[in-house]
Amino acid sequence: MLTAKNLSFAYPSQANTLTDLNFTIAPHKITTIMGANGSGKSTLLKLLTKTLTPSSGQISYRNQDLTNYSRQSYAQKVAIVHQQHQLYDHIQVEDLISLGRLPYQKLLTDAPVDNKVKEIITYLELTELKHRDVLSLSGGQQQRVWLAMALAQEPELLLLDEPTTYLDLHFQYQFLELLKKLNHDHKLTICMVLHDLNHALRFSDELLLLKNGQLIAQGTPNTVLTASNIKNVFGLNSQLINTEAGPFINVY
Amino acid sequence: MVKKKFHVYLVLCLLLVGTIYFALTTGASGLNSYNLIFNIRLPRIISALLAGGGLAVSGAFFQAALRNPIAEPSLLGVSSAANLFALVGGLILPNFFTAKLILAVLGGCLAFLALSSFQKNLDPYRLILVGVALNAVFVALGDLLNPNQNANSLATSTWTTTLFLAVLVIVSLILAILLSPWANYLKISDQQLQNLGLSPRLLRLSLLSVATLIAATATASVGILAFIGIIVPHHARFLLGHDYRDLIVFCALGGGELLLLTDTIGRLIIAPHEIPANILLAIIGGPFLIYILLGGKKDANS
Repeated sequence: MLTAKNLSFAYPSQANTLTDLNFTIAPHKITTIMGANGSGKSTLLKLLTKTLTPSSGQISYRNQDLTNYSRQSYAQKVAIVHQQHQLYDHIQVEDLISLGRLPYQKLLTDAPVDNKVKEIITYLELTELKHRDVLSLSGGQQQRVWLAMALAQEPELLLLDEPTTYLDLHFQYQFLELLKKLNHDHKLTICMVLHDLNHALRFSDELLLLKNGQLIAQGTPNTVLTASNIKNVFGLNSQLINTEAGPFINVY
Repeated sequence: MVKKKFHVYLVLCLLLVGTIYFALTTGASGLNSYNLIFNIRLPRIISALLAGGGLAVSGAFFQAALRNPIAEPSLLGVSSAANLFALVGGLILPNFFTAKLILAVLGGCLAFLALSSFQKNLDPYRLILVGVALNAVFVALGDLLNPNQNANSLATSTWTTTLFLAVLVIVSLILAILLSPWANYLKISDQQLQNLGLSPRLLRLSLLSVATLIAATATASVGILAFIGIIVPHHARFLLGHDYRDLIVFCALGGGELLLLTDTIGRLIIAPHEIPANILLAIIGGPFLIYILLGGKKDANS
């Protein structure tokens, strides 16, 4: 679905942030990007959203180079949920979600609360909150609203940048289960950055492991999250334990 | 909410009708001749409605575009620059109001360009501080050019100034209503607007152009009027919430009401002398601004 070929990126007058990445995000799968702080994960997501352009190499979406897409047409295919959202003013839940319809609007017309928006509000169980002020909601509720806005773009590929960072344990699982459900029910392709090894192990089909801007391993979680890779990237010892609830990585 | 909106607009319209009737029929002279009403009071009333409404909308757009709740044309130096350039225009071509107007718009734009180039990333509080400094410079230069302070005010409104004001402000207000959803879009970050396929620069520039055009036109016609652009949008938020599609309409009507009311009171309170509207507005607006800065305001949504 989305392919990176010899992808490199450097911020102006700095050494490479990302060097020679080659990977594919497979359709209908959940792909997780992992790596230590500063390994280039966020930069990579910015490249995938067209916020930055590669210094060299190529990213293509459905066999078309990203430069062939206008911002608006790309926004109809790829949406992103950030780890923390900046909101500068009060806005109602429903109105914020409807901004996700803008890629389908001519600019002067309004962001409509159409059937798609209503459907998403119901699906994400936001009906009771739809007239509330987003700034008055809890972190978990807010994150669901931003997810709803991204879904209103009707994307084929949903990117998420550490979506659970500011959520408590309960909301972390609730949010990830929701993604799993979206992936299952709507065949939504998901690519996210996660920090938690066990979240990655449990919720992803594919894993990309970054270190210092280079891709050092990719494949299924079981093959990537080996003790030697974890030692290499995070400098920690670990052990994979099989429990009744599934495999579990113990870090020590 | 719909019912509340209806009530707010109903009360506002009744207030407007009442104030207009009162302003038309009451004056220091006690006379009510056709000439007095039609050639003196009527243009002044229309000018007050247009300038007030325009300045309130201008303030709301500055606040949305700069993501700054206290941005306003006079605080940012846009009004005083427009005033300075209008004075220059009046000195060069005293008989052509158009020259004043064009120079005023130019001055407003220049002030804004200066402001944004001094403060590239438009950090809200530093932007206001730079604006205050710019404002002081433009006001001082204006005083230097015009030591007798006989600039334009509502009291000098004629049908000519009113007509120019009417054409430009009405066109800008229609544009402002059409663009009002854009002010809502700017509530999310530039990064996210880009991810939605929009250009935050284009959104911001469009709103700022309309806001500057209105502020400069109003200033060239009726002089510098501070605080309308803060007082009215904040009351609008208090009454109607934070959707700019509602706010802009309320500002257009409410700003007109506020300015006409202060002008009429100023005209009558110590008749036959007048207290100019800008002085009354500063007396109300200064404390109000402090109140907002201290964060005492609750609004319809919270």
